[in-house]
Amino acid sequence: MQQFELSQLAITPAATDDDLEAMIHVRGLVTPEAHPTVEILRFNLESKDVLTYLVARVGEEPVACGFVEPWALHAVGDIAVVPDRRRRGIGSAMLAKLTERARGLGKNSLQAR
Amino acid sequence: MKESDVESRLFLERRGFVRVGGEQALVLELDAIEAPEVEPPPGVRVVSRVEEPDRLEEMYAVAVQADEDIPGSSGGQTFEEWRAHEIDKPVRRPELCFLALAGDEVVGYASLQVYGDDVFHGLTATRRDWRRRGVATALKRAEIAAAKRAGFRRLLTESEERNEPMQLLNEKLGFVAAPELSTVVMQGPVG
Repeated sequence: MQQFELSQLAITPAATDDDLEAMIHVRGLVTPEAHPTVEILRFNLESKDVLTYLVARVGEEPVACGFVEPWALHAVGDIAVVPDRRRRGIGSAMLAKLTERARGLGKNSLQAR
Repeated sequence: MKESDVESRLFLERRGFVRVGGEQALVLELDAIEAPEVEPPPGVRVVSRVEEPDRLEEMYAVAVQADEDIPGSSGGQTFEEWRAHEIDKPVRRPELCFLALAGDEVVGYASLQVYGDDVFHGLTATRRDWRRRGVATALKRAEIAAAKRAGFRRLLTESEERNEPMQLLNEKLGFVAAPELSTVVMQGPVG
């Protein structure tokens, strides 16, 4: 298994179809019973201005994804880390990004769903 | 997050997150059942959104009430947000969305989402003054019958773990627990 430094991790908002495909790849490894498609994810982004999808890559390899959006009383979000990339700080880095975004949305708590 | 994902739950607990709710997943194997009769209560008819495509504002009003009454729900969905999720999302089909009409009033609705060979049922919305009369049962039977006719393999659903009336209804309709798909809701600080 290739080692990597956390400094090689890049977490960016998902904007392109490549980003959405990367999310689908991660979800397929973490929750194979889910069936996201580029069409559905693109629809969600276009219909909700305040929804943010995040993709984490090490080089070209997608290793995690997540989302965060505001609800009435709190922010709601989720993180998925590829199973054989866990315990390396990726989840913590993703959570930091999600909570930063939640604070920016004026929320002081996050529900993980 | 999945209830079975202990690693993720511990990850969040170490960061101050606590469990605040959960969704029990259930499945109905459509091959194993006969299509049920809808049997709406007296004075109610159940139609699809193909037959009644323009009742969105009324459906939304019912959805608002239903959402407010789900344990743990924070409500607050705008009409545009509701419409995007319940009507316009690519997984929605008007022939798989059912309205309960009493006279000319929308008193309930339920809608399926299509994911490959499976369909998923989310919210069953019944207007408060029409609850406990069989409206939700009729809507779910309409969904089950339509899903079976359309050749889907499974109908999946979930109900909030504190939503006892819905759990009893799902059990009556033949759904069985799918604990491998059940989820928990954890809440914590954002710093």
